[in-house]
Amino acid sequence: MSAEIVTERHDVDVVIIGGGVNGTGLARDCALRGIKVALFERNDIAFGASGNSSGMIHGGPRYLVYDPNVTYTSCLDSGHIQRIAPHLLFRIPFLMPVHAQRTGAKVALTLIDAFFDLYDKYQPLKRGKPHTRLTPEELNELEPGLVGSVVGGVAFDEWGIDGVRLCLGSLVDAIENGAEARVHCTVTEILRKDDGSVKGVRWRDRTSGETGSTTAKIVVNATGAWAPITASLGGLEPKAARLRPGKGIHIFYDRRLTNYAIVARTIDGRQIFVMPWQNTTVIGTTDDDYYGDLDRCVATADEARYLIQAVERVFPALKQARAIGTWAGVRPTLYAWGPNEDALSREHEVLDHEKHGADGLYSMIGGKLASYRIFSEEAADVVARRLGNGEACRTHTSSLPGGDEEVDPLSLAGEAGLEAVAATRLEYRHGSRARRVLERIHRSPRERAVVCECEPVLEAEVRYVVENELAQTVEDVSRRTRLGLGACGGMRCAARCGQIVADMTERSPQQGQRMALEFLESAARRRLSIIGADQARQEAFALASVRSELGLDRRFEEP
Amino acid sequence: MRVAVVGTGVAGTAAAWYAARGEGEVVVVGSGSGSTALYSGALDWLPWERSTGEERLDHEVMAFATALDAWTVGSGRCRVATRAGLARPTRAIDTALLNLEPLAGRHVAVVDTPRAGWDGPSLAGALAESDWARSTRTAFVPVSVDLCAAEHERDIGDYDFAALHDDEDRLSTMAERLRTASTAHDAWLLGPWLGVSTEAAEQLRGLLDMPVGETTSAPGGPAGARFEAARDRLLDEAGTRVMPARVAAIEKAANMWTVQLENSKAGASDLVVDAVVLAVGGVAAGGIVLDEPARAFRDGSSFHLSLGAPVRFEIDGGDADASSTLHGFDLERRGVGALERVGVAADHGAVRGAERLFVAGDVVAGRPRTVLEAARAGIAAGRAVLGHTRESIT
Repeated sequence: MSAEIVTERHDVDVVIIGGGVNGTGLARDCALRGIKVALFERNDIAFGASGNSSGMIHGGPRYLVYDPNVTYTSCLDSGHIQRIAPHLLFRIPFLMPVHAQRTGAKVALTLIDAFFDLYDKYQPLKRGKPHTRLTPEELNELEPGLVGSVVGGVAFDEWGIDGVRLCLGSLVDAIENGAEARVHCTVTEILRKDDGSVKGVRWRDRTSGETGSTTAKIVVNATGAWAPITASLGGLEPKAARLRPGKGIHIFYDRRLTNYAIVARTIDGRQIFVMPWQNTTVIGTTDDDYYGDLDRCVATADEARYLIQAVERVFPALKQARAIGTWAGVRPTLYAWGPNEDALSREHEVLDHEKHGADGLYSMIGGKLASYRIFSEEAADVVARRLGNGEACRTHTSSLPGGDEEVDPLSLAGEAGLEAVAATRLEYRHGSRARRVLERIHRSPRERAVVCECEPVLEAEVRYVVENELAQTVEDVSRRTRLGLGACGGMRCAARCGQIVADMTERSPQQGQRMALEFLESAARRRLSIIGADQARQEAFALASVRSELGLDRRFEEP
Repeated sequence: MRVAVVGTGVAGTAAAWYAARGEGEVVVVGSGSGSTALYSGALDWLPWERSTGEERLDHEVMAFATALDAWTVGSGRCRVATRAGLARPTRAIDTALLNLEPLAGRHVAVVDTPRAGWDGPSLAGALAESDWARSTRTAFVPVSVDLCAAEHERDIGDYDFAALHDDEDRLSTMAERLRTASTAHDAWLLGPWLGVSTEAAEQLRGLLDMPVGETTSAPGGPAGARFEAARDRLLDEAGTRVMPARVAAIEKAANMWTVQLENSKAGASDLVVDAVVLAVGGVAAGGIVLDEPARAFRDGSSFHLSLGAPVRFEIDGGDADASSTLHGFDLERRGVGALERVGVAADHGAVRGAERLFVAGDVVAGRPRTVLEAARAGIAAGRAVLGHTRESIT
């Protein structure tokens, strides 16, 4: 028997299913240890919860109540992420006003102050500043748009991040260290031997229709909320990878409306926030059990109203602001019966399916953006131990692509003749690799053209992400660059982006046009629940403009 | 007898042009570009995806096009190149656009000039691979020619670049450069750069002695500007009075309509007229406004006009009321296309429940949001106005 195992040949050591923050994090960790990896993603990188999170590497102060260990690991790893990808992080100072109407408001403020004294102990782990207790006057000065009678409040420090860029950083680094990755390629079966142990996966490329199989010693299910479905592909009961799927939505508004992130309370007493995030304002989030189609999860009007009403009570200027889009994702929370959604821990767990008769199959369940790296390390330790690989984890010391060197966006702008804002946004997304994007412009000056004015995104960047970051569609490009997510909703850039993507991927111009329409349709669907007076005009304008240029099918106009 | 036409897009222009045949005074009140900013230069009758482009046009619409002198309305279908690379049918075109239909089977040169946002080779490739080009064996070939006279012209918008070519010397230079670049083709396809007045394209054709024309314009591009130039001339020739003002509200008083102008002292310059045509555009142009949810619920309707007027809104044959859950209008159920289907309830252009109040163009419920429909509806409203005016005389 043992001789047979030794001579058995595998395409790779590990197949990872899922291109979210856990899957890409694990791929990178394994690749850096010299383990051969193949990653399959059914949709696109960061398609699920990872690309639709609150966009924060926060320490999770609210977890302090339920599980201080989550706060500790989150803060520790937030510090690691800052070291390996400094370009991706931006400071978000939070204000938490305490309203006078609240029973025992002054006592509450004292308690909150004390609570943040405790949180301050974790702040140095993530280069956070200690909290400050604020008087009502100070609050008003910092954020004049706040209304309501307050007894005071606190300011505390968190870090924002673009979750999609984080996943791509991990994946690109994994690929550069020998990993293989396929996006829009779904695993159709987890192959098992007669004794039940895994031997690989069968897959189908959803774009080309190509099918194939890849053999591996280990298969890791890192599919987040899809985990039970993935487990069933290996013949396991879905409950073998049980989790509690919690849908969370965010609404984003055109431009930054506040100086600070502000904590607000919903009608049922939950804490939510409004925060400046990249070049938008984001409000979030909800947390509800979700058992719908994970591939088509969108925010509903009910969810949107719930958030908007809560924020309007403390920051009424939001009424006049223009909502331009929503995100919706499903958290893969660890399964537990009984507690309400917020009390569920964001802790994570590597499940060994040997107990279900599937030796070599593991599931990564739970986790959150802030602790993705430590979770990946834990999973990679399991994989390495099994493979007899003794290499140490390097993901907290080795930089992510673009994080190795600081680049001044303004000098980039000067060198390449770009607008400062375009260079700044480019540098945010790519760090020192912004230079590689700009090298394209030296070779082909035409690529300096701005494709998406709202973000803005250059033609060179569109081409770069197709060539280097596995983007295959307009929607993929949008996820990587935020193209088409501004106020115009892609009306002015989708068609051009489709042309470029088709050209880069050797597809026909018609396919490029179809891709543009698919993106426009899906973006419009994500906006339907939040369209207000101003955005309605923009939507009607976009419909007319897109029809004139590309034509619309009925599916676009009707629900 | 006085008539007020509110709105200076295609529908308002057509209504005023027709109503000016009557004996009374026609006052056109408008405050800006509105839906003409949307105008691409492709003039559809039905939404083009569901049309053959060969529909018969009302002879009055043909007469309007002739009077406007900026449109080419053939007896059959036209075909335009869109910036996204479609060779699509349309019923008529802004005269500066290149009509591809008669060029079937020929060789079309697509200008490849280094301007931001213009990719000649990629456009030529997309057009060449279109179903129409394949089935008619029409060739689209990129031809490199620099049409910019200065470095900064590479980055300016299409409108500004087009405006440069209203200058005759500049246009001759363009003709010269095109002629030098190639004479081996049957036609030239350019971006929307041929002037913001209506003469440049025809002049260029004369200079080159071959078909030359533009792709469609982006919103806010030169095609809309050319319409506005033609409109101003037409309304002037028709003897209408044009008031650049915004209307705050129209109200019925003593069997007359009072048109209240915004920012004018109460009553000071209000117009008192016998009939009103509302051609204020749909949601896209800002003529119809989607209400904030709370207000929508209070008033029972999710929509209102950008001016006060006694109208009711309809969608898909029913009232366009708010949903009962304080969410305002239920777009999730209706789809985003609802924003184009909603409009004022009217019968043959007459607002339901109001006398001598007419609507035309995108503001009307359940009609196609197209340029030629706006012209047709404007003419119908103008005709209805005259009918009513005559009635009141007798």
